[in-house]
Amino acid sequence: MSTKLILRNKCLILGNATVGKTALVQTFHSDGAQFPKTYGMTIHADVCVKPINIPDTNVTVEMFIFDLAGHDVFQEYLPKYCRSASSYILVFDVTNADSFKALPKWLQFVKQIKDLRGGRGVLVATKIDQAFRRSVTTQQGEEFAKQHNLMYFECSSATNSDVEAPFYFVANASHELFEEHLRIISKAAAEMH
Amino acid sequence: MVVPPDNMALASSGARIAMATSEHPKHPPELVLDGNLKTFWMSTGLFPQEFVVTFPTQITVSKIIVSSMKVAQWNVEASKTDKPSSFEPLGDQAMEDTDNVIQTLSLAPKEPVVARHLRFEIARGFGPFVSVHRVVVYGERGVAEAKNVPQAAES
Ligand SMILES: Nc1nc2c(ncn2[C@@H]2O[C@H](COP(=O)(O)OP(=O)(O)OP(=O)(O)O)[C@@H](O)[C@H]2O)c(=O)[nH]1
Ligand SMILES: [Mg+2]
Repeated sequence: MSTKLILRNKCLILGNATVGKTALVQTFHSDGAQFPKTYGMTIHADVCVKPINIPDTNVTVEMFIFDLAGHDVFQEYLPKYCRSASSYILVFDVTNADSFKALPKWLQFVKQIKDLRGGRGVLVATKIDQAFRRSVTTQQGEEFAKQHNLMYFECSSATNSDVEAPFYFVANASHELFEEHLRIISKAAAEMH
Repeated sequence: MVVPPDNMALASSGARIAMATSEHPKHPPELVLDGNLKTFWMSTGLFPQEFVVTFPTQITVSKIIVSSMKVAQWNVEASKTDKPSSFEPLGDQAMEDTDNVIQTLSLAPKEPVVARHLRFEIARGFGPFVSVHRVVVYGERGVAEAKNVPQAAES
């Protein structure tokens, strides 16, 4: 029997302007075919949908990826795109120390989104192909992630290295969360009369 | 003589699901129409979620009772037309988070509402997923007030 189950997850992509959020999303969305070389500032938000099959199951998680604008002028508009979000990926650029220092501010923003409480966040370091310009080390990234209970990944959209991993993690976590909710509800339902 | 009111929202009396925004193979939306609290429709992510219940003929709704878990906001609308369209608000309710105990939405419209279809929208949840266990719709078959009004030219 191949009764397919489609789960849906709304995933926010957050972080300072130019850290490479759009590049990460587009590279992932196009399976590595489309890396935007020239910078086009994201205005408010871009949305795309990408199905991810969970291995060894009949489950597909449809990721509704909200690539949010990082520039300050759009900050006040972001909350309306964040409603009912189920996950988030926080992005910084390893060649840009300011983008790393801004992470607490973004975590503060995430805290205000009620629906996100409970789910484990993800931290992604981008542009690791720029090794010679690197100003934030892997160790710094890992430590920050550990302190804030975030899952940590490093990637390069330019060379299409490891861009899928953070999204696969989110999709898997989303599937596990669903199964857990289903178990709790099934148990409660079985006791009803 | 007191006749217990009929639940119109039973698959066994011809009610059916016209659409739903989530489809779990083991927890399909039809399970809200089986009169059983143990079986349920499970949402599979994102909000809003909704399902539409279609009755075999127009009914006059006097009361709606919905049993669910983790629903934060219900919006219920009714449509009189043959096709499920031109929905008009019937009632809405913000729910309390009862954790993993059943929540009960109870709506009794002030004026009886004529409906061929009822749309149940869940605008928000207290978690990423919600369940709906049973929909009960009390009412009468047909349009109760029809006697008093001149025959409307409804197609
Ligand atoms: N070398 C290198 N450049 C990258 C990488 N990812 C993104 N870039 C470049 O960085 C610039 C900014 O990338 P975007 O993805 O547009 O940045 P953003 O985070 O979406 O910025 P906003 O939309 O303003 O918030 C672009 O010129 C990209 O080509 C990467 O992994 N390596
Ligand atoms: Mg962008």
